[in-house]
Amino acid sequence: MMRLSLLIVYLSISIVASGCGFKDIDKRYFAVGMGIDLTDNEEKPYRITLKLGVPSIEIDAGKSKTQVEIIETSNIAEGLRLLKAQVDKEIDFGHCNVFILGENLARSNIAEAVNWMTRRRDIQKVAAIGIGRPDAESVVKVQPVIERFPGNALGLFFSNDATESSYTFIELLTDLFRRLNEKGLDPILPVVMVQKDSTYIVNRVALLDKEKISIVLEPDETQLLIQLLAYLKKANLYGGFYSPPFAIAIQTIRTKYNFQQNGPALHLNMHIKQAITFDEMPTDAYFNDPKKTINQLETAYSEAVKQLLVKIQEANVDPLGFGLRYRAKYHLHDFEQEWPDIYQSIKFDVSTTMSVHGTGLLK
Amino acid sequence: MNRYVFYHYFIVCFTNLMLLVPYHLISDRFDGAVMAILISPIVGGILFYMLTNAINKFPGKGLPEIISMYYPTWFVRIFLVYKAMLTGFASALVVSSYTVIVTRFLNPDANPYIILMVLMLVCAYGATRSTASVNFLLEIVLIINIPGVAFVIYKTFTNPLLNWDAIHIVADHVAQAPSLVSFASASFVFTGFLNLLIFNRLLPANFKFKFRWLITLSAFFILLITFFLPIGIHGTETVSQYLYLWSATADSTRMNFGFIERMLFVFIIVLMNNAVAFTIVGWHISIEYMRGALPNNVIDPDEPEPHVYSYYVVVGIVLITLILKFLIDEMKVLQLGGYFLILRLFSEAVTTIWLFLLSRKKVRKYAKNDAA
Repeated sequence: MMRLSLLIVYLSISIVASGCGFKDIDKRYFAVGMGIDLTDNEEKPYRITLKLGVPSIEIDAGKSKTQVEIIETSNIAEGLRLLKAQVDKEIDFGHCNVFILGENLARSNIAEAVNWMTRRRDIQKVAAIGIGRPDAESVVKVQPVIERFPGNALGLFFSNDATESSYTFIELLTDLFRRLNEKGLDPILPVVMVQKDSTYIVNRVALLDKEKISIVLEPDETQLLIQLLAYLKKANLYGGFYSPPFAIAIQTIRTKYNFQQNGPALHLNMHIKQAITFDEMPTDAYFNDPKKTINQLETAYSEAVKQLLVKIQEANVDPLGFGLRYRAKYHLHDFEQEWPDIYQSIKFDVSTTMSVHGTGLLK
Repeated sequence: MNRYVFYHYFIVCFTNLMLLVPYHLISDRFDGAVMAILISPIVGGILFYMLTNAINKFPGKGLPEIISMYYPTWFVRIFLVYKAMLTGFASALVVSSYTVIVTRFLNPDANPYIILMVLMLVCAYGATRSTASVNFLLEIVLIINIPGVAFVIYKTFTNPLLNWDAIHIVADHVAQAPSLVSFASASFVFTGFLNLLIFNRLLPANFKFKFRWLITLSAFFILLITFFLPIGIHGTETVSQYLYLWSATADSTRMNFGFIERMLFVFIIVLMNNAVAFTIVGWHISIEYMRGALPNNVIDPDEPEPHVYSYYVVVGIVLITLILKFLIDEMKVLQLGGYFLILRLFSEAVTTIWLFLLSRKKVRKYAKNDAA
């Protein structure tokens, strides 16, 4: 009797519990891309662009359908609430894995937008974040011709499942939020541009001085930076390096660095170890004089890395986490006060060791 | 039978690591948390040895029987009611913070009281079963869950976002003296052996505890992992901004080829199993203490039908938990949790040392003959 009554009480409660919050999948819109822009209007500084996937039976290239909603608002959360009045179904962020911040926003302050994303429970912490150039709206709006699922194309750029480009830096929400607050580690964001209104280019990164863009790197510098940051990527593709007449492909790369106090000057010794293969070179160049070829390449690579490091240092940003390493090694009383001067005084010593895996099919 | 000791130890370890403990430890990460983590296994280990040695002298007896061998009934009653409230409150904290996580992540529109009610009914049903059933239930839950816990930890460990510099920076603050609350929360992880105060009833007469050092050592490693991994993933500053740290950490790992993209959901299911099992065990102990305080109680660790007292007590616990939930908001749960951990640390340490003294030969001859 006791058991039976318990069972009845339990069942009746579970009936009540299942009813209230759940909405069927056909009564939901899945957001597949979101853009946040800054407007000139001071009262409504944010423009939110939301790309909603339209469920469709046909799955084929070019058959993906999306609906784009745009709203201007005083804050992001309020804007989404207003947007709900423009659509007939519940908006769900559970499958949204790309968020684009407009370049205007990234040049003023991204902290509020990133905070909002992190606070929301249904946004994945593994969602990719990028900067939209010239603005987020135009990036989100694009409907690639070859897209199979709604919003899939941009998502594939930021995952290693499909295209793996050595120029595309993937920044996840967790990492961005960490870099926003961490002392001695500054945010990096990939820059997404639209090409011919139908596809994207993601081959630059913007380095942020915590909340706003400080410098945007060129594609070749971007690739070099990604190679140095290789620990962040599980990719098996590191791109290459071009030093006429040689073009090499990097198979594996390991970067180590440490600080060394030489008298008054603080040196950062960076050692890069690579395994390479040749993509382009004059026939027999390596076989005739391997040592000279390798030396030449190593020097060229070290020089390029050094130039990049100095450029980043001059922009006063720290995407590689030198400050964090410094904190781990030396104790600073007031990191925020002392570190900028220390960082500016660092001298970089870069050395590279390359080992050749092969020269391709030719000598 | 030694594996049951292991289960009781680790259910407390896992559940608390995922819910309450990281909050206090991470808040104090620059102010002594590392030192607290280093000291707590030593203190926890000593108490573990003391308690197991003590209850070895009282084969087949739980705390209520041992205490009533020495002290008058009125004292035993007050003491057992206090112990019951202490144990019940720990489970109430776990079940209510778990309810918050479920409503937050799985269904934010649902009424949290209904979710809490459903969870508590499951726990109440489990907790009223006999001691032997609860013991077996715990074994099953843990065997199902340990692969899940290992998976979450492994995936987080291999996450490329893990930054060793941040871990290094926090570990460097080892010389700081720990605060009381961080020490209390770190040592909570090592107090799973206290379940034996009831579950000793099931252990055979000449039972030998084995691998006690190994249990403490592995709990220590789990504590290290759960403290340092989130710091490596979220960095030294951001880590203190998350309310539910391990939920955020589990959500930070990409599972490209899993059935589900977000590891968060795997984590929440594992956490749910652990929290429910923890609450069942906690409430069961609480029920047994209360029953020891009530007159005409029959002690039978393998009773076929639950005694009617069990139902009275569990209804009381459920009601108190519900009222607490109404009165206390999310922030207060965390604060109160801190005070509770400190209170618990002291009273459990005192209980253990007390029992240890009672188990000495010189003291044992003062035991009442009728109760022995």
